Order: sequence, then structure tokens, then C-alpha cells
Amino acid sequence: MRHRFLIGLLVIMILMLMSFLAAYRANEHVRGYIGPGKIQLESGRLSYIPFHSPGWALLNISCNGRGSLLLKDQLSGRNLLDIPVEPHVSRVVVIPHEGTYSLYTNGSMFCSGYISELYPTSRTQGVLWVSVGVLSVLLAFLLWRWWS
Amino acid sequence: MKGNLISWEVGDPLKVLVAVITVPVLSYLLAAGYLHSMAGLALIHGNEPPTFSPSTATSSMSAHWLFVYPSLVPGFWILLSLFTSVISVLTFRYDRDRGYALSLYSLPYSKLGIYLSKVASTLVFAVLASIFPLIAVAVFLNADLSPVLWSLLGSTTFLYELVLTFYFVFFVLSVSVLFGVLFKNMFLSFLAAFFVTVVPYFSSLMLPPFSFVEGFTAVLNGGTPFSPANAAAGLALPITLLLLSLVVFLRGDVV
Repeated sequence: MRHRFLIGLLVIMILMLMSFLAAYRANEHVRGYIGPGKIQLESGRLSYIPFHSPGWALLNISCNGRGSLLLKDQLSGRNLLDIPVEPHVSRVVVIPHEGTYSLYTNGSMFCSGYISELYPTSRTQGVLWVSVGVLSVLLAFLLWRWWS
Repeated sequence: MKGNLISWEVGDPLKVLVAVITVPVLSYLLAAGYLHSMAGLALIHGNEPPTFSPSTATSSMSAHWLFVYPSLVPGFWILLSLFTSVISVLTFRYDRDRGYALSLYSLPYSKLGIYLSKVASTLVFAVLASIFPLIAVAVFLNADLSPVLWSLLGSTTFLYELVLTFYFVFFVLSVSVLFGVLFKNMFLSFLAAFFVTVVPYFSSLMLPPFSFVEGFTAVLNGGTPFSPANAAAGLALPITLLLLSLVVFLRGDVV
């Protein structure tokens, strides 16, 4: 067979992309903890908790205090959450995609929580599966042409 | 002439097979480490949480995690040094141990050309197993970050980390090549190379190559891989070892 290294490279890339999907499955129920921390608005200054989510996930958050609990998607600038805390709230929030998020408030409260149920977003899945498809077709074509 | 030798070396079925098995496993370890993050224990005091644009995205938590997670996956680095030693020792010893080196070295190629193409092909495999997964994890697992992803990948922090990764595999490669030409047995060479490169990590001595992994956090705080200490351990020392093994290679007998 000619160009064994190139064929090997294509097989490596296909297996690599499949292994990424397996990595999502392995991390599906792993919990990442947030806080506990005191978030507050004090004389114009905010204390907030930023965190990174590696995909679609569920955020279980529990807060005690006074004010509105806000969650901001720092990459799109959207606010995902605005709920009053009087004096306790416990909520499950969907984290729509990977990126940086911040928990903040216009009052003062203690918050803690965890993220779990990690899944690839449909866009990430699309990129992975389309790449696997294109590479597989390329591999099949090259094997057909170069097999001897 | 040289191109022939290199394509012969990188197309060696045994080495391609080892790479096909190992590189996806290395990528899996990196991806699992990257997806394992999900913790936010920091508390920031300041104004309203900023919305990141491509130019400011390097100060986001996502960027921070992207830059710091490889140093928190020791399995990747241990398996990477194992893979690099296996490939180097296979390149330099397999033909001699199996005996077909005698016919290979009777071909009209200079010994220097054979040595250089062997080192080059080993370097190709080492880069394929280290820098390639690092970039692939960043690109394929972050499709939703695409507006800011390219500025993260082009940032000096990420490029410096790729340079440190290159130092890592270059160091392991040079040590393995030296043992590959010194010892007259494939298994012995591999064992010696693996122990010399990995044992310092288990005894938590900050020696190369694992000191380069520690360098990842230093790079985040404004360090550079081109500092005298890093460049000496990551470039000067490996090049010296490679020159030393070149002398042994040229003067020693085949087989």
C-alpha cells in the first residue's frame, strides 16, 4: 500500500474525533462545584463568581440572601436568569453551550452549586460528525485508489 | 534521496500502527481532562461582569481553563513520553535488532543522511502525538466559542505553550535516541529512556522534561519559553545529546 503514513494520519484523525465523543460520555455525570461564595453589590462594586462550562450542562444553584440572582453569558452578553431571592432559592438552570458565565446579584447573598449532566451542544456534535464523515469518505476514496 | 529515506521511515508499518493506537488514546486523555473542568471557585470583585469580544477573550475563564488544563492531565504527558521513547527506539534499534539494517546500510545513502532522516521522522511522529491533539481539542470541542476561538488559538499564551510542548517531546526524543544508539538492545534502550525521562516526575523533582509542563502556569503569569533556563533545557541540551548520538552513530558499527 502506498502513502501508508497519510492513510494512518486519516485513521488517527477519525479515531481521535470518536474519542472526543467518548470523553463527553465519560464526563457526563461528573460534578463541578461552584462556590460557596458571597456575591453582592456594595457601593457600586460587584462581587461575582465566574465559571467555565465545557458544554451543555445543568447548573444546580442554591442561594440565601436578599436581591435578584442573575446569570450572565459573558460571551454573548445575554442574561440567562433573573429570579428574586427572598430569602432562599434553589433552582436548576440550563447552561446552553460552552463558554464563560457569571453569577452576580443586585443585593447580597451566599451561593453554592454544582454543574453536571454535561453533553456536547448540537453545533459541537455537528462539527464532530461532519468531520468524521468527510474524513471517512476521503479515507475510503484513498484506500480505493491506493490499494495495491 | 533524503525524501525517499524520510518517507520510508514515516511509512514504516510498525510505527504507523503504534501511532494509530496511541495518538487517539492521547487525544482522549486530553479531551477528558478538558471536559472535567466545570468548577468555579474564584470570586472576582469589580464592575459588572464584562461581555468578552475577540480582543478581550483571553482574560475569560474559558481561556484560562483552555490554557491551564494540559498541565493538570499528568497521564497525557507520561503516555506521551512513553510513545516518544517507543517511536525513537523503534526507529533507531528495530532495523538493527531484526537484522535488515545490514542491507539498508549497504544502499548508497550516507550514514549522516540516514541519521538525519531517522531523527526527522521521529520528530514528525512526536509532534503528531503532542501538538496535534492540543490543537484538535481546542478546535473541535469549542465549536460554540467560534467567535473568540481563533483569537484564543492565536494568543501568545497558547503559542508559548505549544513551544513548551515541543521542548517536552524534543527532550524525550533526544534522550531516547542517545540510549537507542548506545545500548545494543531495543528493550534495554526503551526502559532506560523511559526511566530517565519519567522517574523525575514521580519523585516530584522539577527536572526536564516535566518542568516544561510546570512552565504552562508560568506562561500564564507572563513567563516565556525563550528564557535562558527553558531554552537551555529545551533546545541546547537536546541538540547536544543529538550531536553526541550522531558521533556514536557515525563511529559505531551497524548491528
